[in-house]
Amino acid sequence: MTVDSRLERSRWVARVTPARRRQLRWLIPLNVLLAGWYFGWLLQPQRIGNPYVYALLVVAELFNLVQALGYWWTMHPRAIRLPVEVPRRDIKVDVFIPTYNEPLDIVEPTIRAAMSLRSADVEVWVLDDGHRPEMEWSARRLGARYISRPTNEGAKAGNINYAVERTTAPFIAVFDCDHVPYPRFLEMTLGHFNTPTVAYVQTPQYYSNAESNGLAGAAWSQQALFFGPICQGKDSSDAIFCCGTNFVMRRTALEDVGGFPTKSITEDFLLSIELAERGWSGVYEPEVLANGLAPEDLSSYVNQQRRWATGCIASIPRVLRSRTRLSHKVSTLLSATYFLSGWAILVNMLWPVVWVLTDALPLAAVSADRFLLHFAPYFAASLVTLGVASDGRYTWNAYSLACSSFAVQISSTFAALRRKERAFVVTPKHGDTGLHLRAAAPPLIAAVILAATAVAGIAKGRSPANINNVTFALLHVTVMVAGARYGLRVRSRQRATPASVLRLNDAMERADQILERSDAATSTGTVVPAVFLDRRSAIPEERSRAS
Amino acid sequence: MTTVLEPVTTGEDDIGVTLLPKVANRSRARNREQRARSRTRPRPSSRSRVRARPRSRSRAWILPLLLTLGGLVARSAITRGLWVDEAISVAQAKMSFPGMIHHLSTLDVHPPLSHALLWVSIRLFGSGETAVRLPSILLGTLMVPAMYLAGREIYDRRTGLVAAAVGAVAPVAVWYSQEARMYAVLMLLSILGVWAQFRFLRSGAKRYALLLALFQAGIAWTMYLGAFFVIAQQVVMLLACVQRRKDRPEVWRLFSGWVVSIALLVVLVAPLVPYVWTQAHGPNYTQFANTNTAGTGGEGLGIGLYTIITNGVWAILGYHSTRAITSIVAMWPVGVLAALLLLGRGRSFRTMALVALVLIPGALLYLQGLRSAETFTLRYLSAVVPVLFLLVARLITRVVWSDVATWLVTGALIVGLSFALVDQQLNGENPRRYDFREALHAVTLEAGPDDVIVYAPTYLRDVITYYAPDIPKVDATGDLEIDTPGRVIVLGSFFEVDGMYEQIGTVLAHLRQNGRTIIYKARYSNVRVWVLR
Repeated sequence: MTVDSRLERSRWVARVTPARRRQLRWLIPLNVLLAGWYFGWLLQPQRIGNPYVYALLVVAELFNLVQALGYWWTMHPRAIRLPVEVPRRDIKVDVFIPTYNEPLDIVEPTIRAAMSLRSADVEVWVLDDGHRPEMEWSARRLGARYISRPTNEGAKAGNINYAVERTTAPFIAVFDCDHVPYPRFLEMTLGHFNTPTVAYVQTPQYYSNAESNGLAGAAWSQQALFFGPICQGKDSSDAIFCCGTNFVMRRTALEDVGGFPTKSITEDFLLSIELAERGWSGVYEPEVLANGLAPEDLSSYVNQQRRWATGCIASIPRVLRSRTRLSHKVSTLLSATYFLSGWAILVNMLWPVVWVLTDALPLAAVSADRFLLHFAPYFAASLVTLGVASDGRYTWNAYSLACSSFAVQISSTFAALRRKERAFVVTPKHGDTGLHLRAAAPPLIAAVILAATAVAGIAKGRSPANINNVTFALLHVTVMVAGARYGLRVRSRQRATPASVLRLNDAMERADQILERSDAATSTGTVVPAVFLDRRSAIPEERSRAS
Repeated sequence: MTTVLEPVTTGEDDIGVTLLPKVANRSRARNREQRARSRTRPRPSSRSRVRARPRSRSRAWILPLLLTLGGLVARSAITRGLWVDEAISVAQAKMSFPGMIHHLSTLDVHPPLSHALLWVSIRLFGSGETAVRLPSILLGTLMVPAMYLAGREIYDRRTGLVAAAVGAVAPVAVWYSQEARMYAVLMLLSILGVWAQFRFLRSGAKRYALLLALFQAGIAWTMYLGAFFVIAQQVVMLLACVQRRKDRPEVWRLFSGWVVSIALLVVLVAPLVPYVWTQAHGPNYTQFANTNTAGTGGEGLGIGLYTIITNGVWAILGYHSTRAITSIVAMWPVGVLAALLLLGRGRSFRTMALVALVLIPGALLYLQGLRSAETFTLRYLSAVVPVLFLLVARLITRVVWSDVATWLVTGALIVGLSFALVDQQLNGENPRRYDFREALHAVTLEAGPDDVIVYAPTYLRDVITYYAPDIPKVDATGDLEIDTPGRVIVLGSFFEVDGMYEQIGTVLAHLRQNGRTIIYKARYSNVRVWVLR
C-alpha cells in the first residue's frame, strides 16, 4: 500500500535565492556576449556551404537564439516580490475543483485539503463534468458542494464558467482535482489582491510524485524551470499568465472578460491575455502551496504536451493581435513560440541525413576547432546558466524528454494551422503500466533513421566531416532513445496496484461504514443526508462491478 | 492494511488530510525522505559503506591490488627505445652525483629530484633500457593505488576503483611511466598531494597539511612547471576557507593548517633557490623559456584551440597519429552529450576543486605558452592528468547510478582505453614516438670501424651515443669534410622544426658532391636514415 505523495510537504524552494540571483547577474550578460561571438562568426558570408542547408541552419539557430535571449531576459534578476499579509480573515472564497473522470482517491484528498484552507470563509465546489453519483456522494460527505452541468460544452473552461454563474464569493480559487492545496494557500495569496488591478494570483504547480516515477521526475524537472526562475521573471516584468490550476481569481476580473474563453484548450493562457488587455494584471507567488501529480506514463505526458502545444501555437496570432504592453506581448509570445522548438530539433537531426544523402554541409570548409572556438563557449555558458537558474533541477532526463517530444510539437503546429479543434484531454492521474509504443514511436523512428544514417556514414569513409556527422547522428539517437525509454518500460503492476485497488476497496469499505452509521441513525431517528440514502442502492452494484 | 479516512489535526504547514494510519504514514514518509536524501546527497563515503557492510581490510584491497598489478603489466610492456630527453637524462645520471648536479644547474632547465632517482637506479641496476626506466615504471605503477586512495577519499570506494582502473591502463599514464624522465614522478606526487589535501580539508589534522607540503615540495623538486599545480592547490585551500567562512573555528583550523603547510613548503623548497638562480642564468634556460616556434608535440601548430583540444585528447586517450586525433576531435558531439548528461548533477565543492586543479594549471601553462609555445604541451601538465582521471571516474559514478551499469560502463571505457593504449604503443605514426633504437640498430649491425654518423639536430648526440657508443659522430652543423673510407650514416629527426629538412638536405648534397652515393635509406617513426658509401 502506498502513501499518497501529495500529502507530504514539498521540499522544493521555488523562489530564486539571492546567491543564484547574484550568479545570474553576471552569467546572463556573459551569455549574451558569447551568443554574439558565435552568431557574429556564423552569419559571415564565407561560412555559407550549401546555401539551402545553411539557410535552414541559420533559421533553426536564430530561433534557438531568440528563445535563449527571451529566457535570459525573463530570468534577469529584478525586484523580488514579497508575501503580502491578508487584510482580514472573513473574505469569502469559492474553491473550484473541476473534475471529469478522475478516480475518487485522486479527488478526495483535494476536497479535504480545500476544506481545510485557512484565513478565509471558504466554500468548496466540486465541478463534475463526469456526472458521477459517487463523486457527488463523496463531495457532499466531505462537506463540499457539488455542481454537475447538463452538457460538457467548453470542457474545463466551460465547467468553471458554469460554476462562476452559480456562485457569489468575490474570489475564486481553482485547483485541478489532483492538486492538494496546503492550508495556508489563501493566507499566502489573498493579500496580493490589496492591489485593485490584480486579477489573479498564480502559484507553482509542484509534482509530488516526481521521486517515485522516472517520467514524472523528468516532467517535474521541466516544470521546476518554468515555475521557478521563468515565472518569477515573468512576474517581475508583469507578464505572468494564469496556468490553469493553483490560482486565485478576482471574480470581477473574470466577469469583466466574460469568463474563461471556451474556444481554446489553453483557456488559461488566453484568459490572461484578455485580462491584460483590459488593464488587469497577474501576480506570481513563488511558494509551493499545492501538491499535484505529474503524468506517470508516456501517453499521458504526450497528451498533456499536445494540448499545451496546440493551444499555445494556435494562440500565437491572438498574442500578436493583443493590445497589451510590449513586454507582456513579448513574454507571452516567447511562451507560445516555445512549442515550435520541435522544428529546430528536427532541423538539427536532419544534418547527418542530408550529409549522407547529398554530401551537403551547411558550413563551408570549417574545421572542428574553428567551429568549437565559437560554439563551445556559447553552449557551455548556456548550460551553466540553465543549471544555475534551475538550481540544478533541470536534468538530462528532462532535456531528453523535451527533445523526444519534437513530433508532438510539429503535429501540433499542423493542427493549429488547420485550426483543428482538439478535444480537451484530461491528463490521466494514474500511470499505465504497459508499453506506450504509440507515444514512443516518433522518437524511436527518428532514432532508427539516425542510426541507419550513422551506419551509412561509417560505410562512407573516415573523413573528419563524416565522423562528425556520424557522431552527431549518434548524439541524437541517444537523446531520442533516452526520451522514448519511458514508453518502453513495463512497470511492475505491484507499484501501480495499490491505488487502483484501494480506490474501490476503500470506497466500498467507507461506504459500508457510513451506511452502517446511517442505518443506525435512521433507526434512532437521526436525519441522514439524502445523498447517503440515495447511494444505498448504487453501492452493491459497484461492489459487484469491483468483484 | 485497512485504510481509514480520518480527519487529522494539522500542524502549521501540514496539508490537512491523510488516507492512511499515521504510523504507516510516518514510516513511509521516512522511507521516502531517505530515498530522496540518498538521491540528492553525495554517495556515502567509503568508510560509512564499509561500516554498513562489513568488509575485511584485506578484502577491500584485493581489487585495488589487482588493478595495480594490471597497471604494472601494462607499464612493463615497453615497445619503444629511449628518445632524446631520456638519453640526455641517462647521460647526466651516468656522471658523478656532484657532476650531475653541476651539469643540471648549469646546462639544464629542470630540478634534480627525478635525476637523482635515475642516478640511484643506474648505480643499482645499470643503464640498460629497462633499468633506467625502472623508477618511472615503479612510481607510475604506484599511481594506480594512489588514484584509488584519492578517489575513495574524495568521493567513495566505487569512484576510487574506477579511477584506479582508468589509471592502470590510461595510455598517457603508461607512456610516461615508461619514460626515464620526471613525468611519472610528477603524476604520483600530484595525486598524493590531492589525496593529502582532501584528507586535510576533511579532517583538519595538521599532519596531512604537512604531508601536502611534502608532496608539493616534491613536485617543485621534480619540475618547475609543476608549480602551477601547487598554485592551484593553494587556490583550492583559499576557496575552502571562503566556503567555510561562517564556521569560524573550522576556518581557523583550516587556515592555521594551511599556514603551517606553506611554511614547511617554503622551508623544503628554499634549498632549490640557488640552483634555480644558476639555471636561470644558464644558456638553456633562456632558450627554453623563449622558444616560440614549435607547437604541441613539435607539430608547429601554435596555441590555438586545436592545440588545447589535442592536449585534452592526449591526456585521456594518449598519443596517436595526427589523422586519428583529427578524427577524435571531429567527435566533439560526444562532449556535448557528456555536458548534457551532467545537467542537474549538482556542483559539489569537491568536484569544483578538482576542476580548478585541472583548469588553473592549464590556464597558467597557456599563459606561459604564449611566451614559449614549446612549453604548452601535455607533459608539462602531467600533474593534472591523474586529477582528470578522477573527474572521469566521478563522471561515470555520478551519471551511471546502478553498480552493474557502472562496471559495464567502466569496462567499456577500459576496453576503449586499452585499444587506445595498443595503438599508442604500436602505431608508428604516433607523433611522440621516436625510433632511434630501431634506426640505429638497423644501420649499426654491419658498422665497421671506419663508419661515421652525421646527425641533426645537435641534441641527438646523447641518444646516438646511447645506442651506438662506438661509432664516431659528427654534428651536421660542424665540419662535414669527412674522409673516412667507411660508410657515412646520416640520421635526422625533428623534421617539423623549421630548417631541419634543409639542413639534412645540405648534408646529403655535400656528401654526394664529395663522391658518395646513397646505398640505403629508411624511414622510422620520426627518424630517417641514409647510408652513403
